[in-house]
Amino acid sequence: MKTDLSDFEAFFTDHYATVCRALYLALGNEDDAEEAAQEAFARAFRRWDDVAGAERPGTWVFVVAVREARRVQRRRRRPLEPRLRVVAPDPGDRVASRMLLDDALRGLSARQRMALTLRYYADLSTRDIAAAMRCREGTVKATIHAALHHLRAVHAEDPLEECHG
Amino acid sequence: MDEHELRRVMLATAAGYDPETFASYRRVTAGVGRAARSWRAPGRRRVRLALAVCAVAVCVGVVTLLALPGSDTPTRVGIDPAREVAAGGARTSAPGPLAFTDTNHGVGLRSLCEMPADADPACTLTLLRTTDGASTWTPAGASFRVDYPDWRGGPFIDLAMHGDDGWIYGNRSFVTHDGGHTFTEHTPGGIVAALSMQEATTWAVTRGCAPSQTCTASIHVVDNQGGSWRELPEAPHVTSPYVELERPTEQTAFISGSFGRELLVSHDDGTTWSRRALPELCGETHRISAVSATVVWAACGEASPTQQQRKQVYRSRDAGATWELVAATSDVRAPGTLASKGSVTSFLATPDALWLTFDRAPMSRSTDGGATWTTGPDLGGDGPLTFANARRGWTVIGLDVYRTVDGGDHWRRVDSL
Repeated sequence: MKTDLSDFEAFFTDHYATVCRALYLALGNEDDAEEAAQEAFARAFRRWDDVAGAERPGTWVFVVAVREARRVQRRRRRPLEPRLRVVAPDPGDRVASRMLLDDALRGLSARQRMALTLRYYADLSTRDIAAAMRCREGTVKATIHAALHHLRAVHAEDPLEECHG
Repeated sequence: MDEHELRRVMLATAAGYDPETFASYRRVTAGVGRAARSWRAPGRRRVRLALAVCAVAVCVGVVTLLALPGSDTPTRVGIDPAREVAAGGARTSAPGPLAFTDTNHGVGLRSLCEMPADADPACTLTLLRTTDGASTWTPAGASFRVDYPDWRGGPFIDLAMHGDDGWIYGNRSFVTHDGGHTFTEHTPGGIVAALSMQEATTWAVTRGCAPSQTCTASIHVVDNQGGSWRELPEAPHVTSPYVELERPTEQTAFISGSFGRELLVSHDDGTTWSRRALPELCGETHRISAVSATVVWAACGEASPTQQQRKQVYRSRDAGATWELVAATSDVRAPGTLASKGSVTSFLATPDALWLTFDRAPMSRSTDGGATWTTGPDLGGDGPLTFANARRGWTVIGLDVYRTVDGGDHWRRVDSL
């Protein structure tokens, strides 16, 4: 099937920022996120006829971007240390959200961060996450379960939580 | 934290990150980037795609510029095919008031000077720190006032940082070992005309007299962690009042007076030196920039009082033994063409691009080793450039800090020092 190139423009506009943001949440680094995202979209562009004909092009580019993110991280040999920033309407909520997410993600492994991000930010299915992370669906479920368990524990131990009540 | 809360904070955090889309689309579709460089489309299809991409890129550019009023897009310049300038480790900043350790963390020097015509100048120096890529700055420590006795006009004041160690150097030199919280005067003797920090040591080229007077410079070394300055016993004589010092590695040093054709090279911590000749035009005025122990660039120009200047850019792959002309103004035939307008004020070669800034003309950039040059936006002045990586860089004009997040396509004023 031959597809008009303007479709790629629309596809890029619809998905690029979302892919970047997901990788940013998982990696904690804007440059790595954008490098991996651009690589994924460049691949999609090179074989756009095939990608456009896929069942879910958005998921396809997510899968490629996640795999590329791992290459980017390996190439730079830099430990994953999330340094996230946030802009929310309410400054108080902004600070609280950033601190909460920073603290929570800091205790997770890179694999757990990626799985949670793909599940709860990108809304990918377990099957798609497994494809992106090159593991079995059961492993994805176990990874997410363990990560959520950790987050609940971190939140429960938050000494400030008692002040909110 | 449950799933609902996690989703909420992820959405809130992600909303604060607005990735640049216009330049990214161009990279993805128009040949810039690691993936695009390996593009191997068949000939006829490549031509068809290229034509279509041009139309789409223009469309997306217009839409994006209209839709993103807050993006870093004051002015737009063309994009070049990306080819690496040179291999090897590289300096990524010209001497100036900014130093960045990564895309977010850096320091900047604010120097406010009183220069009365009939009295000694005095400056108030403040080191400022940023943790958000120069969007906001806060003092790293207390400001301090420095007097410059028996001096007229503006004193030399520059900044060099390496981790928590750093120098404010020039007519008087001060060292910090706590990230700029405190400074202590620690002069090697004389005016520090050039200073370079590497992993373990700091080198300084010092002169015992003002630029208008003739004297011989000496080279001093000190450990970054502290200790006393020690003079290099075998250092060659340098008499030029303005000196450049490039140290692409701990052991390698290039020293050159801004006037004259001599380039001094050492590959053994300054124990032995070789004298190399720069190309002829460099004898009038030049800037050098080394990207490795062997690859060094020179931007040379005539000492012209007009706004037009003959210019030439050379590359050496053998530490200055031989030179290859890569770009010039139209009076000389060269692979690349440089604009005549403006005199060169700074020159920076990074692994990703060559940068020239000019007096009274916008900066120029080449991403293909000097074969093609693009003119940047007019920021109303010029200042030394600093880059954290291929895409994110800064410059200071006056006290205003400008930032690019797309390798210099666009510059946006983000804050003031």
